[in-house]
Amino acid sequence: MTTPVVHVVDDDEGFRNSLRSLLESCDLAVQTYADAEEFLTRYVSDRPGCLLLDVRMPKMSGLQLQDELQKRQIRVPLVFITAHGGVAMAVAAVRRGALDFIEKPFDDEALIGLIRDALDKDAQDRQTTERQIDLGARLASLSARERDVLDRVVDGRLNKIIADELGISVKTVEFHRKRIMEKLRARTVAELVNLVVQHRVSARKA
Amino acid sequence: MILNGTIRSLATTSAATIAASLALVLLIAVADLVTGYEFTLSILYLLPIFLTTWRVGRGAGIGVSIVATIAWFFTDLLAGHEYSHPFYRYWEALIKLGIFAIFGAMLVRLKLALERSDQRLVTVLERLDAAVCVFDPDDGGLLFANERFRRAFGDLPGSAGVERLRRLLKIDRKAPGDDGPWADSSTWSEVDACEDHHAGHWNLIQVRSIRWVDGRCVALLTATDITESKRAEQINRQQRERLEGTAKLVAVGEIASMLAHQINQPLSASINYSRSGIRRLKSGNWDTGTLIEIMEQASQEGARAGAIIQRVREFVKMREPNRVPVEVNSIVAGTLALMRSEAAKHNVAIAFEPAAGLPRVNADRVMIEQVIMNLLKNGIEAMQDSPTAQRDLRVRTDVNDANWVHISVCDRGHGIPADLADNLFQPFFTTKRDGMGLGLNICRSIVEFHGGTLWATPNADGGSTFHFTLLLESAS
Repeated sequence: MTTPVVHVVDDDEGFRNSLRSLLESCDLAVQTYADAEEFLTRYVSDRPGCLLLDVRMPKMSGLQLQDELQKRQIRVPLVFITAHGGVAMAVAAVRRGALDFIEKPFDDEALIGLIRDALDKDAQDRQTTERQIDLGARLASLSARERDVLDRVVDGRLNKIIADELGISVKTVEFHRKRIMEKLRARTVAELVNLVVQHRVSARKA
Repeated sequence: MILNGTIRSLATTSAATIAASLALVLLIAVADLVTGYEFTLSILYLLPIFLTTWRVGRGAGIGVSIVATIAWFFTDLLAGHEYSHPFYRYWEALIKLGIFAIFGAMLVRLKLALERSDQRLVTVLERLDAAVCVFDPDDGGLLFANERFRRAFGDLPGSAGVERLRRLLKIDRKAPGDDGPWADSSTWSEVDACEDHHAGHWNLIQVRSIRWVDGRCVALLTATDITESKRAEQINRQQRERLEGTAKLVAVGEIASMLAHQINQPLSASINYSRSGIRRLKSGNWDTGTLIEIMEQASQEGARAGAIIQRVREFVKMREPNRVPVEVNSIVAGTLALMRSEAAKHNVAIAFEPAAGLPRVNADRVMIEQVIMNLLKNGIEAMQDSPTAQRDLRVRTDVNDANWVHISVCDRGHGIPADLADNLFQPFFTTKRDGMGLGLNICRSIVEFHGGTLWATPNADGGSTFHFTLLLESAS
């Protein structure tokens, strides 16, 4: 697995560099950006990571960047860094989906704890997304008839009833079920049901 | 008033006037008889007729006219004046009576017209919204005062009243040959609004000299009540002050916030570098080159914070105080004069006990005034809830050993609670609703800048005393 990157956006160069030094001392890869625009143009989502974002910045503020990321559907865990008087804004940011905020000057342990949380969350998010994409692909590989059978199996109907409903023989139903289990890589019926329900839930969320 | 006096004096003399007129008629009749009918004196009868008509009235005038006609008739008869027909004597008498009556009627008309015009004038003056009076600037006699003046200032009896007016108007007795403000009767010599001490009213008082009916040069004074506009002005000023205070508060908050933000950046960066170095050292995975760089960065960030503070210092330094030898007592007295009205507003009496022969100190006059003003204001505010009789503020100056002048401001207010005493001089510490918490802090800075100290002590009988010392000129 590729090493995670901590992205730092802060308009103060001295502070940015000091943060890089601190995080590198904890064996974290760091990317720094002077402002929100630079981040938007240079950021690539292929590596796991998190974003440390200054609330108060000239041009585009941290909150505006947060909006922009949501608009562009870039899902990267956000930790806001606030200076004097920025707490109210940071709270607003957290309400709108940021992971947390930390006030300058901060305790390095607290910051690193937050970064670890953010990276864990990103890893989890990425895993879930991957699994969903995978499951989606597997479901897509089913034929129309196999989907009909699957829907009925998940609803808990017996093979005989499924056969009657679809006007096919019980033997054919059994054959389809076997193929479905193979395609979705499910070992038991329970596992199969679980996979489908999971997919439905995440599809509804999206 | 003049009219009333005239009528009163006339009433007592009307009987005498009638008697005198009748005697005069008799006298004229006798004289006419003596001179004979060819040298007639009948025109003289107009004199008693005039006297009675003018001074007593129309009825009496007509009576005297008839008596005069009768007197003439018998004089003419006794003098042996022959007419070609006896009817002509009666005709002649009738003509005389007619002339007397016409003369009387004209007199009555004239008098009425004069009275009316006088009355119009007095009515206007009496009903005027301004207080008007005429007085003699030399002997102080009040010649005229309208109702409003009498109500507002009393009758100002005799010269005592004029003495008061003189004080009020700051008019000095005229020097011989110098007509002073009275010289030109066409200009008003305006005197700035004077206070009427009786009713708590503010009046704009204007005086000019006029020539009185008897030719004397007298003073015409009008006083216009401007209490309402004064009050509005005061409310306006208070609002403006409050607004300015709020603006100042916002400005100070803004400066504090900006400074905190400015210093926070390099400070946070410096901490980050230090922590980075410590982590590397602890992990054992480090090389000298990187560590030196990190530490250099940390110190550079520290220096950046220092530079910001230096800039603030330079900004403050631009207002370098101007220290010159000054009299402490005159500074205190000057400040007290500025604070009098503020103190009066809160019913606070200020007593100043200056030490005699105080040596001079080297100080910035404006800054020391600020300190005293601040302490006085605090004292006044501290006594806001004290009983009125207890609200006095004592300011003292004295020489503290050989080198120091000691100034103290002693109030009888609520005092300083023990748990707040330590914070008293801390910046941004305040117990006032709209205070900034900078007053005493600034005062202490100013006094310390002058090499002195500022401190507070509780009084035995309640309240607190603030003291500060200033270095004598000879010692600095």
